[in-house]
Amino acid sequence: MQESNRFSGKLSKEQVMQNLTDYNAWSSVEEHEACIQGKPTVILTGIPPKKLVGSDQEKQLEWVVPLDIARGELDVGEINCWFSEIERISGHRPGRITLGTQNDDSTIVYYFVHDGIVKPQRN
Amino acid sequence: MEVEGEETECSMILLPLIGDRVMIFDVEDVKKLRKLGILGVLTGTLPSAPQQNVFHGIPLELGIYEVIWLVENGYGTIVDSLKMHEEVEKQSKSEMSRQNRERVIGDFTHIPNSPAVNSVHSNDPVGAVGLREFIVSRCPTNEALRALLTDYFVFRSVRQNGYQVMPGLRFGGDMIAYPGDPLRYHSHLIVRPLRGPVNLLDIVAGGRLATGVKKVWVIGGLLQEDKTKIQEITIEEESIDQILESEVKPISFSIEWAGFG
Repeated sequence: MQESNRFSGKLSKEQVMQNLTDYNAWSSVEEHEACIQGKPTVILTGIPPKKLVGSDQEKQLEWVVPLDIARGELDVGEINCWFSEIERISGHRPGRITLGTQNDDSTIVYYFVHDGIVKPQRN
Repeated sequence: MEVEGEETECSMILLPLIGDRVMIFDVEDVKKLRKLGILGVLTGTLPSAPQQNVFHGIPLELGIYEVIWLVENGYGTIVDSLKMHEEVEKQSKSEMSRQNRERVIGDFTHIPNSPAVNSVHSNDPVGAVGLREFIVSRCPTNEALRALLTDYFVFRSVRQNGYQVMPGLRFGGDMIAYPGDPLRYHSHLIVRPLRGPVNLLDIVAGGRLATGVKKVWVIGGLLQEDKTKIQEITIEEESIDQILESEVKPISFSIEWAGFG
């Protein structure tokens, strides 16, 4: 745990960017400097090749927070900070962001984090 | 029991405290609670089908958050069941003969569960237990009390969003929330109140499970400002009522699998 903590941030950012671009065929994947609870962090944006959810708009810009699973824990204050940092960067608070979680075996899984309580998607 | 119509509407639902549980034996009260979206858990055996455990009957056991919510919103009063019954017993003895109280039906003696004595269905019943007293009896330490309050605020905010809440063990959460009566709807949310940080692996596991059963995994917790307010509460002081009234608002996020990657 301690060992891989040293890498959190930098490694996951690059791997998530590469995974988005090369594996998931996203376009315009970019980095944005952010400050989460006093720590400099990177938040990504990109455009998925097709709508992620039926109700999305075509070519909708998606916000992605890369995280290394080895960092262990997360609290609601920090998640709230992501939303407010994105609001600072882009001018509005998004309804959802995507968590790009990377494991130490390089597996990357993506989860939506919606702001507030939402209904499950119809599918 | 025989009170009906408008009088029932305005009278408090009695929440009898038996040992450390609140259990409702009166079917009319169970119906009233259901209409309020307070579901509880039926724990008794159905006399007509005693050999199965899929369907249950009275008593309805209420969870601690449900009890706090009912009292906070003025729908119910907690009563010490033993004290209430002792008092009723005393009154009955002086008011009527033993023959009147106990009706003999066949070989059985029938004693009514909730004797219809005026003091029982009033807004100031005998043996009333204060909310603060009830909460502290369940949470003997400051830590336990703060944890309970944090969880309760999440419960309350889920209810304020129009959801009805049941215990969540079935889906690996603390609560599950339904958009209406659970007999008519599937649940939408698996709720995890957070007293501290959440493990990232739990987010992955919870999100994956919830998405697999067409739900979302909801985490709710307090921001620093509200956490500080909670940290100041101790079991000795009178401020639990104030804290319940105060605008402590948990913040929630809904997590589901993104469907790609």
